[in-house]
Amino acid sequence: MKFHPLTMILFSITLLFMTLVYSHPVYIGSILLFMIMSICTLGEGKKIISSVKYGIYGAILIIIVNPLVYHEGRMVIYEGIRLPIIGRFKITLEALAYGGNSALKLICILLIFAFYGVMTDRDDTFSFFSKYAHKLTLTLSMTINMIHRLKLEVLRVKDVMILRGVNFKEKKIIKRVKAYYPILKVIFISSLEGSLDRAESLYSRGYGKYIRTSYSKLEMKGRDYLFLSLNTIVLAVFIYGLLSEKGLVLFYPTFTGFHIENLLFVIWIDVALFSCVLLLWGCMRWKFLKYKI
Amino acid sequence: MNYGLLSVAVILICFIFVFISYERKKVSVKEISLIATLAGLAGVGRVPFAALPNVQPTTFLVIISGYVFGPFFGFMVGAFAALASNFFLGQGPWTPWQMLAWGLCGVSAGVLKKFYQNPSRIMISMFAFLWGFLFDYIMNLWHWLAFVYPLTLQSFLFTYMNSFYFDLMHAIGNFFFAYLFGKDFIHLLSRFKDRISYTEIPVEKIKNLL
Repeated sequence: MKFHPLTMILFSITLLFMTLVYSHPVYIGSILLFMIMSICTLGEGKKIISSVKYGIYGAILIIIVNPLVYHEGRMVIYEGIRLPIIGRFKITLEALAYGGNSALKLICILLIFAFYGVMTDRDDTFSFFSKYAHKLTLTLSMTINMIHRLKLEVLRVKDVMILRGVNFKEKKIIKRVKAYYPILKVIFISSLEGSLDRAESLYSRGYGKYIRTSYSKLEMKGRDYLFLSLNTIVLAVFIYGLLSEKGLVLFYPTFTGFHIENLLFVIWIDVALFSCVLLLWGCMRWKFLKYKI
Repeated sequence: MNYGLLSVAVILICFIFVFISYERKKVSVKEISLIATLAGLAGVGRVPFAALPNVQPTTFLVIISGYVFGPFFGFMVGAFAALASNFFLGQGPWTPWQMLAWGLCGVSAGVLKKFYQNPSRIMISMFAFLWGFLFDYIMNLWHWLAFVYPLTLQSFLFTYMNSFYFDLMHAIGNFFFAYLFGKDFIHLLSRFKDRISYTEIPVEKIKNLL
């Protein structure tokens, strides 16, 4: 079950802005929970782990750097000797909390990209953009195609070289580099020659002369309109909240996120976001939503 | 002010302008195909070296593309290499920044050619070495702007210090790729550039000559 790319681009942009603007960990946690639930509802839970693993290094770095470089905050956990660049070694609970909150933001942003990938079909995204930016889409689809071709080409050339007696498992690194050097050169030349052939093939088929032929039309379905309506509600609640400074907190000198009003407003955000999860769940389970809308 | 959000907005607006100019530009199919091929080569180069942290021939290939074909071409090769290869390695908030960093790398190589028509092997290698650091510095910038508070010189230096060894590996890798393959690949690409370049002579001009 996939959605129209435009629906998901607009929704992902809303989520991205919400994540970047909010500074309250409860609000960011709500968005994170929403995405985990959505991805799991669509049965793509493995994508969460593969996406998050790319951001782990960055998240750890953020948690370490913040408390080391900023010493403000009332709750001092540790105070020690003076170090170069860092200054006095002092770790505060507020600085640690800020680092943790930023790491949560990073994970959240990573999951927005995974969410978009799960919710849309890559070919549909290409078709959608090719309507408005055909040169860009053509270049990108040719590049992706080239990456596949080159992977196979490297194996083919390597097999030929092995048959000719080249040893790629030399122990000395210089000898190994010398063995690999002709492969790179052959691949480089053959792919450039191939690019000219592909260009001539495109030219001979009349590329760029008239309007492009389209064999399938990408259309917005009922569920896309439903999702866009929910997106508008999420956006409205987000803007209303921002105008009354909800979801924004200070970490220094002390954490100001315990105001009951600020904590209660997150319920509205949650209701708006989880109605989107409900729609997704419905689209997966209810035949009416799945096939008719 | 939310500098992380501001930087994302600025970078997206810049890309929209660059891509609109690419759409409007008179680009031949041969150029499109060559951009795709070089971006594909640069992108696929990230995969076999994934075991060595931050050692990849991508930066070097973007540099020679920009050097031979000019700044705009170099930018497009760099941007597409990042975008396409991340379809396999994983898209994330780093994608626009990688596109920008490799794009600028291609632009700077194109500008370099305007000043040095025939640079020595060591000069190209040093240029690639420098871009090893610059690339990672651009990548660190968003990290610092979006996730570190306060934005002081101290936090800036500390963020950059943390990635020093990664940056150094990238720079050393670039140096060797450029030193070993730089000159040869530039000659090869220049030959291809000559093959796809042509000059249009109006019919009237030929008639006048006859």
